[in-house]
Amino acid sequence: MTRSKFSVVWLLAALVALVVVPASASAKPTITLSGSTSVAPLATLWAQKYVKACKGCVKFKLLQGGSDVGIADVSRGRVTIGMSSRDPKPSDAGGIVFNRVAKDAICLATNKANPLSNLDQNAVQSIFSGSVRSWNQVPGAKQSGTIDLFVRTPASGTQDAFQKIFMGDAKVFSGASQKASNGLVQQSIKRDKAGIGYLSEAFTKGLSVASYKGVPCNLRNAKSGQYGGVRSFYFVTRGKAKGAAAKWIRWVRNNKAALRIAAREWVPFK
Amino acid sequence: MCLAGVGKAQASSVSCSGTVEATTDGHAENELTYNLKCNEDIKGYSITSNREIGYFGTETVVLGADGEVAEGESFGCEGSIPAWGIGCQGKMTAGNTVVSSVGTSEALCEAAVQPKFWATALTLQDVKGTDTPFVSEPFLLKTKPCKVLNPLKKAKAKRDKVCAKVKSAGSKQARKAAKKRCASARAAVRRLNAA
Repeated sequence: MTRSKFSVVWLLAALVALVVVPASASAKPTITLSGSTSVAPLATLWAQKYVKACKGCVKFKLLQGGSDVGIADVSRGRVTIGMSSRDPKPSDAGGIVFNRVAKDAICLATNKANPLSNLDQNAVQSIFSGSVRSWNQVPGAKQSGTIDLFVRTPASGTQDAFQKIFMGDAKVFSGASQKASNGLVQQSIKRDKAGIGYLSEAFTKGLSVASYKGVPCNLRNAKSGQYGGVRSFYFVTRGKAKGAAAKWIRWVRNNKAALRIAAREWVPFK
Repeated sequence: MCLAGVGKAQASSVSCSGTVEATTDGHAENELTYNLKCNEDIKGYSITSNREIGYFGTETVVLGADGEVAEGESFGCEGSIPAWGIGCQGKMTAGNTVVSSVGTSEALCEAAVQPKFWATALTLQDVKGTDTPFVSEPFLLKTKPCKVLNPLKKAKAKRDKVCAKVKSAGSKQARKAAKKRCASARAAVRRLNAA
């Protein structure tokens, strides 16, 4: 074979390889997710179980950033699924679909040294709007002095859900310390005897959790519907979910193993 | 010949260490807890392994030298499932310890070689007055070696071998003994599957 013929054969072989390799590599679809730091722990557990159940039929890529980031990413086609821990808003881009996958309780938590037995909506609004700034003004508080408020950043779905469920028209105090995740709120309250904040029930370990409107914030009350501070978790898709994403969402909502995973720390879809 | 001026080494100077061990109070399958400590402030780290990772903790806890949670220090972890590692971004002060978890796709000891986990840290170092990111070398995390590698695979092979002898047994007595060995081998597989 002459050198030029050899080169042509080599080039053809390389072209075939270029066509064949991506085709086989793309045989396994990848579901990309971004968004809520509250939904992410549940999504990773579901992803692990699903990969095993479907014998590696799919691969996941999981990013975080907060609900607003996930919703913006999916509406721009950057990810397959946006994880959201807040309800749809009129300001959200058109053409996206909120698929409810589970529910979660938002608890009001204080440091273990300063347990509060109950908070009604008035008390929550007064504390978190900043109109009550001292523990001396909070009935039942063991702590005295200034209240240290820990809230979430504006991109957070937990922040949005808290505003909607607990605060109504009252606005969260602008001087509150903003944290980017449930874990950071948990850590801050653990360290600060004068701290109070709100966070997903799954992150309340090591904190004192107050009842809301006389109902303790726990999984049982969240599942029964007695606890009022419950919000939905969504997998947001661009249009109706298709292909691998649709199959996964169906599995998450209906499969017994998926429902069992959700039931450990969250409220399952059904 | 002109040699460039001799300056500070342009490489990461951070040193990290940690451990990986099985945990029983996790929610994920084959969950392992890891911890990592570095002698400089870090802005991120990655964990890689010779085992396929099927789960990872998305939020970490950073503990101070006193064992208490370090205020304002945390990492958010991202990555693929399954994959051979994860990446985490955030911050941790020198001397503090980050604690989180990963889960392997298969049981930790179901492989032909001992499990290994490495951590790589991201630091910011001052280079001519500018904070410049540096990625460290991989640091091997301490892991308890498996007493037996591939225990399930070995138990299944033994079960198949032993149970095949039931049919080929020449006498009633030999068949009875083979059946007993087969039942015991099957029980061993069930035990490992359940574990």
